[in-house]
Amino acid sequence: MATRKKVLLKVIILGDSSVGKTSLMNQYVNKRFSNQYKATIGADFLTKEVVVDDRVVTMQIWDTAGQERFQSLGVAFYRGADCCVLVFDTTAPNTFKNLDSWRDEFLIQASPRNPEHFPFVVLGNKVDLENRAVSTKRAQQWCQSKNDIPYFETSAKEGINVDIAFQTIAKNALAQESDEGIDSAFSPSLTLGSSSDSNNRPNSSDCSC
Amino acid sequence: MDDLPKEFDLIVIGTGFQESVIAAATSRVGKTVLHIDQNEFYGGFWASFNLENFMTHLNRDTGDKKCKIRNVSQEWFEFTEEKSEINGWNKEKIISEGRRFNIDLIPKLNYCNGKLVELLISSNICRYTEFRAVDKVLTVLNGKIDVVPGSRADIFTKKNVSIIEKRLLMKFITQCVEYKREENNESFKEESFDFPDDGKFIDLMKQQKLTDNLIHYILYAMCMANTETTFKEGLEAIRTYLTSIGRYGNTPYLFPMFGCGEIPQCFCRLCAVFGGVYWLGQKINDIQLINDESGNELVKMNFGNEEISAKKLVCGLDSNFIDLNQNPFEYISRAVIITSSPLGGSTVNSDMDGGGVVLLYYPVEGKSDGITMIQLAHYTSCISKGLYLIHLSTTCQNGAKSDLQPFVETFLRHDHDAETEDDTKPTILFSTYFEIPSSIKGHDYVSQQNGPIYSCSGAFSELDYDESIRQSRLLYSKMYPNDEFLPKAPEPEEIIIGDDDDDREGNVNLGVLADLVPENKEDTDKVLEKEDMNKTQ
Repeated sequence: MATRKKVLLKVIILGDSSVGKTSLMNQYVNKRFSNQYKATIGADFLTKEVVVDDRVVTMQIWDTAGQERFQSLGVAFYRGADCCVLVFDTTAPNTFKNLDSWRDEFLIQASPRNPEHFPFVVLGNKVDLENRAVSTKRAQQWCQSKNDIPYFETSAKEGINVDIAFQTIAKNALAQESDEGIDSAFSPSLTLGSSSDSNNRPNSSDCSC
Repeated sequence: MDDLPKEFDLIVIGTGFQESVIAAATSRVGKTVLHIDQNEFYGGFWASFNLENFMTHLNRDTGDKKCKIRNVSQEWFEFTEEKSEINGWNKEKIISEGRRFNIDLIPKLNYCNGKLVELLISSNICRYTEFRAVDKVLTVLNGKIDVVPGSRADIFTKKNVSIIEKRLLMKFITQCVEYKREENNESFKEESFDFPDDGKFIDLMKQQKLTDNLIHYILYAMCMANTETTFKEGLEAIRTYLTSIGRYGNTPYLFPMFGCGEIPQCFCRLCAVFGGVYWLGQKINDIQLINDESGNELVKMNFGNEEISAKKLVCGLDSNFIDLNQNPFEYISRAVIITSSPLGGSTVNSDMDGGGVVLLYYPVEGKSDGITMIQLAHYTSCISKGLYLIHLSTTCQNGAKSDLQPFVETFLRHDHDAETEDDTKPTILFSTYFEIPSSIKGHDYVSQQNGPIYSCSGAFSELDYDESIRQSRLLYSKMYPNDEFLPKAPEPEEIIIGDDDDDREGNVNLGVLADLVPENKEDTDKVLEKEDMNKTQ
């Protein structure tokens, strides 16, 4: 890699309501878990610095903010994603069946440049519960049939496999980011109100007419 | 599927700009919001679409709806065997790439120091989208397209502006900035213009002996004004221009990546983050006003299979549920044109590869507002590399085609001849014309509204969102006079999600959020005071 510019990876988490999307992200970033289920309130996105192949990258993990509840995620949510995490509840077969439509929805809305090779990661969550209803084999088969999507069985509650899953997510997102168009590097877009805002502001002597 | 609550503080129908701002502001202060749209997509008249969905949307059957997009026409360049492609593009190739386009129904630019940017930053909604600085501003001087000098350096290297003109320009601009700023300071007063506020801006410039060249740059390129613009309006425009320039780029404008359809969605996300419930694509069967046990008016709404009541209801211009007599609307004439070379050709595009955003304001004689042209290239993620998306807008007078013809016939061509030397006129590969409902600037939409059903205005014929934000603030303060308008949202790290320490059943997250919600009205008053001061300046 020629440049060592700061890398920001956007990761989005999709899946049916109450499969544990917010909990997974909260467990990974804050090492916390709450037993009480609430439709996501206050969950926005969390950032975490991770080291991937000796590189420090910032991973921004975006929650659905509950807009998936009635299939009302807007296209803006999907913009510029470097990796898409699909989550289902291993005790609720319907949430597994819906992975297909979440994957399709992502590919339609995000329209990635190379849909065949866009990085997905599948998480089968809530393996700490006893009433398991989706077998490992079934989940693995589905992932294999979709171009070998990496699959992890996690428990956000117990913190099982959460770190390793997100490490893979970061790695695959970084690979995707490096593949994306060079064009944007020449002409970066602006995020308002951030530190880059003031950096971009020239000295007052330059611009006060 | 979890159940939808049966009662909300507010239901909002429609996801256009103003509806989304109201929804976000209401949710932000801790009220419960149900935000719905009968469309399957966000934005209503403010949406962006890919090419296929754009055409489907324009041509869809809207039945007997009164307030809707009208007079749609579309045309492709006639590719033949001899002329099977232009710069490597033909109809099939454009359609195959069309999935990546983001075509705005109503394109807008944002002043770097304008009301929208200010609101996005002050509310912290800015983190939901990214922008691109507009690369250059063009103007038409003596029939030719020319680049408007942006920075101070640009003006001084510009050959067709003489040294005397440069001095005049600097003096005039300095006076505009200083004017009435130091009202109580006698020494400044002498420097000020002696000119009535409602006098015409152009007359002031003539009084100050500015040359025709300079008047043109100031009036059309900096202020996007016309000969009727008043001194007061002109002064405000030039100040916004000057405080915006150099903040993010070489021009005073920004354009949202992926198009303007992102903007309402940013506000919706904030609403959702604070607990707002979203449901798109559901038909609304019925809306009634009822009284609860204590005699308070409630709104009851049937939609899908749900029956839901709310203390207040807000309807968007395209929602079919607003009284169009009380909310009169007009139309904006629009054209969307795709070309495979940039406007003005190599003479104005020599410095770059034409990958950015370009603005041109073209005054039209006998019409109070001119034609606004926004040209987008691939860096905006709105069109493929090698293609150019040209948006034309003006208030509707004689129909879209006729209103926009002065621009199209002068700067674009319908034929293609590779042999000609003149590459300044791009060939139109695809064009569509339509007229889209908009609200009337200066009309009082808010003061007569007393609830519990309120209506939103649509887009205004303006470059930025200033009037829309003003109307949103007015409506919100009418609905919730004691609540602050979009105070800064906390950073994501500051929001703790469902902590185990807090065991209050059903109230966990709201409990955390309550700390973030302002409790009193003091802050609002401060903001309003500040605004008043700004106004009187």
